[in-house]
Amino acid sequence: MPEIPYCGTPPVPGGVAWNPDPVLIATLLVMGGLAMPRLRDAGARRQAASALGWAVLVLALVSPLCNLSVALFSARVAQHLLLILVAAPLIAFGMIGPDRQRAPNLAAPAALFALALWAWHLPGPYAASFARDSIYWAMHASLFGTALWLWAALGFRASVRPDAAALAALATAVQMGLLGALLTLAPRPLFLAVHAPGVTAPWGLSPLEDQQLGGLLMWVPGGLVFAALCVAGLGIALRRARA
Amino acid sequence: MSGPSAGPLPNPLPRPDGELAALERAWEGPRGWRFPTEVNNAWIGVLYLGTALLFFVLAGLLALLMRVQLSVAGNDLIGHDLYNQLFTTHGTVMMFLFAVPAMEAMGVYLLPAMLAARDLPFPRLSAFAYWAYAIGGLVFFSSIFYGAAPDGGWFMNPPLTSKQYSPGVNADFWLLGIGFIEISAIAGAIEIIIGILRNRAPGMTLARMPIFAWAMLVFAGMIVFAFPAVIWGTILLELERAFDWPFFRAERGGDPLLWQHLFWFFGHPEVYIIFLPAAGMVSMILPTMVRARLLGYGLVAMALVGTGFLSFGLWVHHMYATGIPPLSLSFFSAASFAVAVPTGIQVFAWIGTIALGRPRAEVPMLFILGFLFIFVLGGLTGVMVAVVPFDWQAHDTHFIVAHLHYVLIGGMVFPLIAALYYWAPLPAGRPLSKRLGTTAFWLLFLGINLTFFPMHISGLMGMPRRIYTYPAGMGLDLWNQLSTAGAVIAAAGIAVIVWDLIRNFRVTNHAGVNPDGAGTLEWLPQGSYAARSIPRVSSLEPLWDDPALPEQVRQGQHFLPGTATGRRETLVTSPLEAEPQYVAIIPGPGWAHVIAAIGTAGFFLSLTVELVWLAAAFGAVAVAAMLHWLWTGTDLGPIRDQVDIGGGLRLPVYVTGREAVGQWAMAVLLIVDGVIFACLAFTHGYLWLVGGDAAWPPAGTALPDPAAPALAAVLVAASGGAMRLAEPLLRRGHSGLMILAVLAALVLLLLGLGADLLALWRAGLRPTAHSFGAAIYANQFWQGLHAAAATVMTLYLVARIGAGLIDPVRRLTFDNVRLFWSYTAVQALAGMALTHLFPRGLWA
Repeated sequence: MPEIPYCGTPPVPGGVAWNPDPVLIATLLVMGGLAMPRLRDAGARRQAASALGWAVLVLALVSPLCNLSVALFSARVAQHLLLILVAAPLIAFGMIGPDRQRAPNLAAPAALFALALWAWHLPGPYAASFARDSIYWAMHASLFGTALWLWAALGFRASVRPDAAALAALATAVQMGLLGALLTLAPRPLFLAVHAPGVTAPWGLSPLEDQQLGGLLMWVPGGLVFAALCVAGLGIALRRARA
Repeated sequence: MSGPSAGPLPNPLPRPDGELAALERAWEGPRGWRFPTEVNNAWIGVLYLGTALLFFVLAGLLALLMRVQLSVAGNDLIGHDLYNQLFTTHGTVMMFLFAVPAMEAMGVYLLPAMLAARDLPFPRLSAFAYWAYAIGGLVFFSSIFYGAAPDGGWFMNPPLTSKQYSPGVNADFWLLGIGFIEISAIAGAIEIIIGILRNRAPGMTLARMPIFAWAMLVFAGMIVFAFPAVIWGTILLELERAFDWPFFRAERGGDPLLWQHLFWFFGHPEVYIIFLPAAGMVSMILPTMVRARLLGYGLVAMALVGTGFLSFGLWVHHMYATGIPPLSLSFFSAASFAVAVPTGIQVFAWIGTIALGRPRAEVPMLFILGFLFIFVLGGLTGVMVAVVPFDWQAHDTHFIVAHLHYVLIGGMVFPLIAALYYWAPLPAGRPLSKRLGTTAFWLLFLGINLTFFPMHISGLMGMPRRIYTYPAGMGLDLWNQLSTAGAVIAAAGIAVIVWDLIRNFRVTNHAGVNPDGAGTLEWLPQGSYAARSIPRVSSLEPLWDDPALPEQVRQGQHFLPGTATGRRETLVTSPLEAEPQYVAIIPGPGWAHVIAAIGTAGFFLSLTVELVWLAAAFGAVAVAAMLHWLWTGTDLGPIRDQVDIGGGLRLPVYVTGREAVGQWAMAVLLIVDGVIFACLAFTHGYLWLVGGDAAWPPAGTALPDPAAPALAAVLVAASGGAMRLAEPLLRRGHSGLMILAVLAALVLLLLGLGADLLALWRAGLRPTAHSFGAAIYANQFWQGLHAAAATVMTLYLVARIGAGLIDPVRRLTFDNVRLFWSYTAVQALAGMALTHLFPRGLWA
């Protein structure tokens, strides 16, 4: 008998539950509390971005999305996208001021983020994240952590070396798009071990359709958000340069 | 605002005697039969554009032949076989030999002047790329005369193009001929990227860069990311055709759709690759034509970058009809609309600029208005075919032919002609004829619309593309006759332009006129050395803001008014703020790049007709010529002390490390390499997904025992370590030990890669049996290419050390080899992981 995944048993429509894990909620609250003093001198925009990023982080981990992602691969992808494309850039923008002059290395976070993203979407490691809570958290921590590092580095570099930042951003967008493409175009379901037909069927999706939806979320809206963030970053850098 | 003339100018008058004469001597071009040795981008750019226009006319003539064939139903003028060759060659030549090279030509011609650089950093590379393209392209085109032209459509989809259905050399002409012209496009892109980032005038920050430079930066960046996919696809298809490695053969675990993904991953960005520079030109021409600054400069720059990003995600919308998952169609349909946003921003910026100024009825303005009209119509039909159900109806009909020609002619040809008329005074010293230009515009505008508008209708009536005739009595006759009549009118328009060029275009080498009163730096007085002195820039239109600037520049009152070393030089500035960093010595005329180009073109074309020994000879000539050019023309060392460029600025004439443009070029090249490797990994992943776990590896095939690849990985890692070890030895000046370390690195690398290959072979794995083996040996092929390059580089490096040309200061050659080495070692390890760990990790 396999262990029950961290986010609970696969739900059916109408039965998705919030995640009341007290340890997680306490951790998130403590993290938010620890961040407060660092933000005291930041402007209203950065405070707002941090708060919003933190709220999205909480939402992704505590909301019924956690439970839903036990049933649907596409929900898990949505959860990841919230973490790496919404929460991480907001927090990176909010917590890390533009005034620091030290230009960080871009290749390392970009490569590690790519590695984390691809590794956790291989069938084996993906299924393992259902089997053990520790692996579930390793997955989220490595994805969110490398994404945060990458966005922070991109933010730094955008002011010091926008060419290098644009390059790393484009490379990341391309590799994420490629992974989404492979998941979308795969002619067979890869994650049957955890998303069996009986698990996805109540949601009106076959495992293959669920997987295609997940791949498409990563490929298309993920790519659009990525492009929008990078173009917005360029706009900010240009405005600052012309001021 | 601190205009350039606010403070004292960097260099006082009068200028010393002989300063200008020395500058002219350094930049004097070769005459007579030595003309091909010239490398100055101002000359290469004109030649490049002229050759691209020649291909435009040639491919246009092929189109005219097709229109004649289709003018009446049941015509037997041209058989289906020749017709297939005509449309394939027409599309291929227009895309690969006209559109992309024409834009690169405009880039290498205009950018130095626009950035007030003496030249871009690697003029000999551009010249090499030009000659390789011109020679290879002409030979490729001539294949149509002896019936050997490719005939599988410009996108060459297998299985139609596999050996089984295309047994002749026709497809090979495409794969090898075009494959290597893509390499020349990448060479041009490297020159453009580094030129834009490192050769801008002092003070020309990214936010003060002309929009054309933004467009070319995005253009070149997209080439770096998009072209590798088609190069990799080309390699795979040629390996399948030549050696029967089944990448695209379904019966042996391959998948023909793999080609389409690789092709359209390139093919979709390609549309923007040729549109973005055209949009950039429009954004440059329009402000001059209407006497108003461009509306929304920042937004337009962001739109260019945004389009570049978006275009990489959308390739699947060329594949609606291939049976991809139905769910994905709606996503891509929606996402296709997203591209309309950045394009719309630019269109509104242009319309707003026109509204703010007072348009003048000059020829470039006419062509810009024509561009807006035709391109918007093409965009509207683009929105129609982005709707999936409509696309399924219109797919493979003349509706698509109409759509793509409206987009490409509107979006690229009209702006290019506008640019031709706008910038012709720059090299020629006088404008082209307004009367002939206006005539040409009306002929083209009417002709293009008359050719392609009826195709919407014949297409909707069901007339398929790529079919050499149609039966009478289906209502198609009238529309086809109109199209043919339009094509003749459009051809007359092109003939008028050619006549105008013949009569009025002579390269007089920069008389320095500014007939339209433009505001950007390319209209400064020019010599063969470009601008006499390089001004500090503080606005987007320096010539509008400081009318005294041209005369100051001409008299040499700004930076670097002469040659500091007696050689050709260009000022290198920092990538963001454009602060002067050093004076780079750049090469002058020589034969090496011409011989290298002949060798490269000969190598690929001999392979096409399977003359392997001839190919090897050509290849050896090419490599020898390149090595000669590297040996004599690069890494000159600190041949003199710092030089004074004026304004109290003293700059070195030689740098190493991260600021050296040579390191940047190597870095960009490695990005190209990395993208090809990503395509290689995509190939593994895609074939595994298609084949299923049970086919990866297939039954009866076993991977070698992990011990062998583990040993190979250790050897490769040790090779990287040995190369790192050479660096401290260099710093301490131990040449002998350094040679040992470098040779050890080479031996370890070759042993490591060889051990891996041997283990695979001895485990019984063969490339022909199944796509699993084919993918693994394609990986080996790619690593082998790097091993060969690493061998040549190492031996060259050892020879340089032996000749005493490398020391702790003069070390650019070593630094570049080391950078390549780090990449090669990491790529080899990643390749081994893909071969050995990926199939094993699937069940983990």
